[in-house]
Amino acid sequence: MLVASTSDLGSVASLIGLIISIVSLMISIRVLINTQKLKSQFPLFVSVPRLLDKLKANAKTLKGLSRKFDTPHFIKAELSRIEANVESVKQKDEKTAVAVEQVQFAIEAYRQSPADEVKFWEVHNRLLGLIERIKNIQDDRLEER
Amino acid sequence: MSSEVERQTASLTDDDDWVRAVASLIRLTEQGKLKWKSELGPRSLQREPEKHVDVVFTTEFEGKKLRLYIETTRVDDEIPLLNVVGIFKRKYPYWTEEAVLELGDQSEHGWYTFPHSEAVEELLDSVKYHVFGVDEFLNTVLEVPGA
Repeated sequence: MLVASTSDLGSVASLIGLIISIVSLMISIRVLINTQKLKSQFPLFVSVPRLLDKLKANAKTLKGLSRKFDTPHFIKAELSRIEANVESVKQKDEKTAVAVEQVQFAIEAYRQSPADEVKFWEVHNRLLGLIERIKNIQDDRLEER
Repeated sequence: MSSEVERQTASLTDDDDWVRAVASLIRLTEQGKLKWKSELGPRSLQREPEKHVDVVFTTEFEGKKLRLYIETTRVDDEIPLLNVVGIFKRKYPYWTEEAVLELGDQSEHGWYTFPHSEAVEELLDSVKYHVFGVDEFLNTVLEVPGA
């Protein structure tokens, strides 16, 4: 009788142990999935906002350079920085692709006629458009979460 | 053009029009074709105790009036308990600033507010630069012997 009840107790304990193991495994899998999710979203929620600040600085610098339109080497240098930053944004967030391409086209058009002020301002204009686009995408993502 | 690109292009249009309009105002301001002047913030902008406007910049464009200002807003602690238990360490009240661009007619009986964007902040920066004569000041200072 005593042997039988000890055996039952052992079975119950092993059943509880099994349930705890399964629950632990499920929690571990859940944590792993969430970690992977966070890892994949890192560029969108950390890198892109950093790039956004850089693009804002680029737009401000470019506008400042319009006051010194006779210094094309400074403008060229800034355009190279802008190109690097917009390309980086595109790689990290494909939703920005169209707005990034518009900036790239505008830069290319200005490079072909560097004396054309209208084309210079088109770069600034497109850059501001890209900044707004990134902000809207970020806002949408935060709402989705 | 893929459908994704078409969708992105469509969603760009609305925001893009506003940004392009403000970007044009920035260009005209920087080129000296749009002249702004500063004045004290009118009483109509001081009605709410938690909002404050010091200076308003105004100009006329194609028979319309434009006014631009920084609206400072006081943010009070809405959920004090969260602060007590240390969830948020922010000190209250704190103040936020936002550039506001508005369009009105000659009678100034009402104003339409442009959607806020980075372009509006950029416009404010340009307007302040030109209204306060930063260029002239820099040139004057740099021309002083020994500067």
